[in-house]
Amino acid sequence: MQAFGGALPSGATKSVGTTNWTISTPFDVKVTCSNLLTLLPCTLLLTPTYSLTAELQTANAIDTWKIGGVTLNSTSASTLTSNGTYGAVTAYTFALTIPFSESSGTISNQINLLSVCN
Amino acid sequence: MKVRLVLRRAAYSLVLAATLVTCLEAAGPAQGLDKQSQPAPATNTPGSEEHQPAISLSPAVISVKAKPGQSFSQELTLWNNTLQELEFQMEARDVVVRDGKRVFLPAGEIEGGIARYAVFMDRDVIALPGSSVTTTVTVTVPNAPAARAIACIFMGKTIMGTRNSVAMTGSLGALFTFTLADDFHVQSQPLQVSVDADANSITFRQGFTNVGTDPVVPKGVIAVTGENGRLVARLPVSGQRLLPGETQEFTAEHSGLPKTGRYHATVLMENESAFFSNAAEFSIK
Repeated sequence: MQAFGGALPSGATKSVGTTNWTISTPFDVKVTCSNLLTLLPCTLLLTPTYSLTAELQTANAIDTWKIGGVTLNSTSASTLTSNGTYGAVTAYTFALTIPFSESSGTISNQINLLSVCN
Repeated sequence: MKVRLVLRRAAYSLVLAATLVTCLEAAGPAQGLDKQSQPAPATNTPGSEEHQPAISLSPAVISVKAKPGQSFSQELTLWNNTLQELEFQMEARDVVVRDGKRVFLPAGEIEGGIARYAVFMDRDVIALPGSSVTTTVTVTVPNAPAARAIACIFMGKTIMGTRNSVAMTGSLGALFTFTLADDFHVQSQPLQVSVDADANSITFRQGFTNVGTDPVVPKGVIAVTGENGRLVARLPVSGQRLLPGETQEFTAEHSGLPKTGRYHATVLMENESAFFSNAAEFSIK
């Protein structure tokens, strides 16, 4: 992919700013929860919501990685939601912003998504 | 209990499903500790649910009652319901509340954290497709613990999805909470009552802040009485876990409106031996 011209993968969006450009793509998160002994939904139990965090696996001081407007880093987990609703499909947008000053090449990283019951 | 985490949409072909399950007394309380976990999974075996890739963790929440210096062990089992072999690294993090949100801090980052005293039997585990892997964590409660919760995490190391997808890994963590001093103190905000004549319903909102040092899980009822003192409605209020310093809003909704008049709503919540109550007046016109 490139800032000017070129083809975009299906589902990806590109926006070009004055000093950088951003590629973004939507995704959904759905967390469901049920007690498998009682078959009761978790909303009736003691963990009615969940926390979801995201964290980059490798440091990247040049590009900006975001999910749902939350900037990710590799030193701590960024909270995407602290009271996620079980069963609800939540739409997030992943966005990678690349400055024009960056040389062409491969940008590689991983995002770790962590879910923990509240 | 089961949690499924699904990432999907056409943008890329990653579909990650994670199922988080809890079980009742998965392992018996060790070394005299009073440990409670959520009821056990019954149908979380691979392929038993929908045909979506999923990983499952059992148990998901463990409540530990202990004294500083005591240790306990807990088995954690992860099911891999995907077609990939998945590698995980075991990791414990302290769970603390900052700016009203829970944050997961690496072990050793805060003084008095418990996560640094969590020792896993296996640091790295591999779950084969359609299979499960079990490891054991042993936690020793430090002498002056500052935190009251940790997350023991199967930290995903295998990229899930395809070559053309955004590289994402999925992780599941089991929440361990620690009751060390039976210090259950909750501060309540005013009880809010919203009457919605259009929707023909009444919503009760009660904010609670845990101002004690131990986690609390308040749950209870809201009783609505009329001017003559007769009970008009009784609404259950589901429990929510509050870590020290955490604030949550508890809600209950009553469908239908009682006849015109003034009413008294009383919320009564309990957590083990502690009770919290609050009240408000409202009227139906």
